[in-house]
Amino acid sequence: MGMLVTSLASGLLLGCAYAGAAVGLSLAMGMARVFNLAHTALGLTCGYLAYFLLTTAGIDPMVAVGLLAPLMFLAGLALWPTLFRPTVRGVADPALSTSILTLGLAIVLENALSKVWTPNPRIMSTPYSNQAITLFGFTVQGSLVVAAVLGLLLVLGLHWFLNRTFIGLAIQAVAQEPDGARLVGIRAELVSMLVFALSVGTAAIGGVGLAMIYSFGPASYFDWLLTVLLIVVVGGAGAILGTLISALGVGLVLGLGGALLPQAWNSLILFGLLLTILLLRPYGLFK
Amino acid sequence: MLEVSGLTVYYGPLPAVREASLKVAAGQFVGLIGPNGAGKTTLLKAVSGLLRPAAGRVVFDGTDITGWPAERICELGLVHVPEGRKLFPRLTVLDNLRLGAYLPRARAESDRALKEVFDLFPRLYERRRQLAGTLSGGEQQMLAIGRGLAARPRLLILDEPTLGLSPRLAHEILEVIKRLNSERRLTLLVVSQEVVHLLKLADYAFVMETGRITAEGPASELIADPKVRKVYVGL
Amino acid sequence: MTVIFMYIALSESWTILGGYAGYVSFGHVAFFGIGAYTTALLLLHVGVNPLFSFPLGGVAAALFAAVVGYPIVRLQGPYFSIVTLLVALLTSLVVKNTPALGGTTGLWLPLPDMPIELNRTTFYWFMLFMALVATGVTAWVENSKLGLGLMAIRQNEAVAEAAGANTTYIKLAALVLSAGLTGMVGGIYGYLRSYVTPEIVFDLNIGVTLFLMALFGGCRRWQGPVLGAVILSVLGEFLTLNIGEEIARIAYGLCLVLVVFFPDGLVGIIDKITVNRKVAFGGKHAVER
Repeated sequence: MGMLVTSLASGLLLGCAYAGAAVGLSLAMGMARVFNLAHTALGLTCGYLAYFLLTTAGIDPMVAVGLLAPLMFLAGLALWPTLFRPTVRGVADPALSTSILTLGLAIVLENALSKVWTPNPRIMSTPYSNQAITLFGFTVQGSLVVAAVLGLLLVLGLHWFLNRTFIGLAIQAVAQEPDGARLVGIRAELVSMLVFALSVGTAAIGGVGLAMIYSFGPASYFDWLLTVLLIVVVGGAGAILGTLISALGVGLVLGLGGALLPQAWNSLILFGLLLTILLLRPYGLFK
Repeated sequence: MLEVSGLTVYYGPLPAVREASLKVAAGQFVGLIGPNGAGKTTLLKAVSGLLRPAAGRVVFDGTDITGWPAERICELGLVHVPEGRKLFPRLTVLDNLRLGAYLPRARAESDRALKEVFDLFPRLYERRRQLAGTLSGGEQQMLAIGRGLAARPRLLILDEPTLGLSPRLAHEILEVIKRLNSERRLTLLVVSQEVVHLLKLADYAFVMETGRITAEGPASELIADPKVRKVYVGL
Repeated sequence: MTVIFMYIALSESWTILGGYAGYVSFGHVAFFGIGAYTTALLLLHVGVNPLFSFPLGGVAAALFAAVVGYPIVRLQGPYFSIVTLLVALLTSLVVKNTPALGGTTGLWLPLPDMPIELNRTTFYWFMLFMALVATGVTAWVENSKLGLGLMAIRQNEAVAEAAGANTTYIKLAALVLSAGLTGMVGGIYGYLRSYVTPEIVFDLNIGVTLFLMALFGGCRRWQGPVLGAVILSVLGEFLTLNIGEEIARIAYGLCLVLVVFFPDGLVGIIDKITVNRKVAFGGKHAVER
């Protein structure tokens, strides 16, 4: 019983961490029409960079996130006009064209990581990573708590930004009614660029979070991607709180599955769930 | 204030508007009437920048705005309240109005603009916290007009503000529009199927058929014109 | 050369649905693997040489496509792509966990009892044969009623449907045909490797490479995949031998990025150059385009 409760608790924490990795993708899919299959690959790249900073300079991953997220935001600003805008504009199905583009990017990143850091798995070990922390009577891993807090802060921060700031409202306006937005003077093109850059910036936070929890190799982005896609599809693209709720659910499934079933079953459940939901409700459960 | 000359706009492979010309003078209330599919909406979209014209010129207040993007045209004070309203359905009434005052020029006065809109449509004030998508058709239309006013227009273009409304509500909306013109000297270009009522209120009107402007004149004369009466008034 | 022929056959088969209809399958390797396992099982349990039974590999893959395809082809855009990818992953996972199929260790196939040189040339001819068959079928589809339907779907599915075409049936037929051809190639490949494991025959890299080649060459016409498969196989082989496999994969990834900007691939670029020449001569039709 005690083990079950603990795995439930760590499942919820895992869900928070995954919410951080998923929320940017949800934003990009729902509000910039970008189906970004490279989202977790970008996050993984940041995971490796954080690992590099930790092992060479002793910089704590929490600090590294503060450096990497703005950098990735800038990278997103640079990627939009060069690669993504031409892929989205004047295309019959921007989601399909961006998914092919980003699959290519993901392959490039995976192999670049493998070239630089070899295919061997890495583990980020910080002073707190294996420390047992007792929260409300449950004992959980320190790095899991840190990653969960990062993810939760990110999701809540984004929710606040989108609903309580003027730019956030403009972002929603463009997503809901692009023509209407242009008619009140919103430069939809700039807004899409901002959304995309935000999404890429958050990929850094989510990616470092996951890299703190799991041992990771260059191909890890793939399993992360499928999990994150499941979360986004269940939560509904563009729905920030929906992403959080669905991530908590997926975290619980992963936490319980990890405790009760062998590893192979875990991926079977994950893929099977994603497949079923995509077949039945491809545009989200809540839409 | 607005001068459209020789405007041709393609909608798909066919020209929906052919060499249309019209003029709106400052302070005028101008109506644009015509049967469905005559190209009125396409013409307005090309004026406000949602569509790019293939030929012709659009001049607003001495500035040639032909082919400008909608967001820059809005900045000049030419504000378009489109057919179908194009509200932000999952944002509140208040947020829709705030976004109407998105541009810095309008944002500076947004509190005053909001107050004016609520004075004009008290119903919107009651529903200010409600999501725009949950409003009734009439309320949505009020919100669309309100959002347009929040942008601090010098010329307001209204496309079918009465579509789908009950006759009573349609007249109510048209009366409010008239007041905007007579009390605040707001220049208006209005399309409506409520031809008789529109012509009674407007100063001047243009008739559009199959993509061309086929008649124009002071509204009081057009309403007496037997041809117009026959086609649009059904008498 | 054998590998080039294999990729020609695979990307041609993929083009039937992915190119003509624009339904980009990420998971065609599922059909490839099913073909490989079918012939392997037939060899081990019935004793039929895969070089005779490879059409049955195609039949198995086509049947599989017919069974799972119906709900899948009704999905749109990237949702279709992701689901095909999941089907490949799940198939591979099921095989990995089925002891009768050898699990993760796979099945070992006794090589044909003949000198190694003859062995090589045999596979060479079989893959050449498959490349020709797949190219022929794809070229035939291009000018057939089926091809017409698929291209109508690519241009505007709603209009095609409104015009009375049963788009679901058309897409399903294309998927089954495409899967059948892919399965036949897989049936030969397993024997060629003489070792059939999930890692080898459900390798997602094969799944990505085969459609990358089609997109790169231009998957609106049957000539494209041939061009793409030849150029990219040579490029990939060259980079792998001289610099490293990772660099080759990076190059493939970059090609995929590039393809988005040239949706009609190399064939499309070649077309444009020739059309521009016509414009120079004042061709009125070309100017209007």
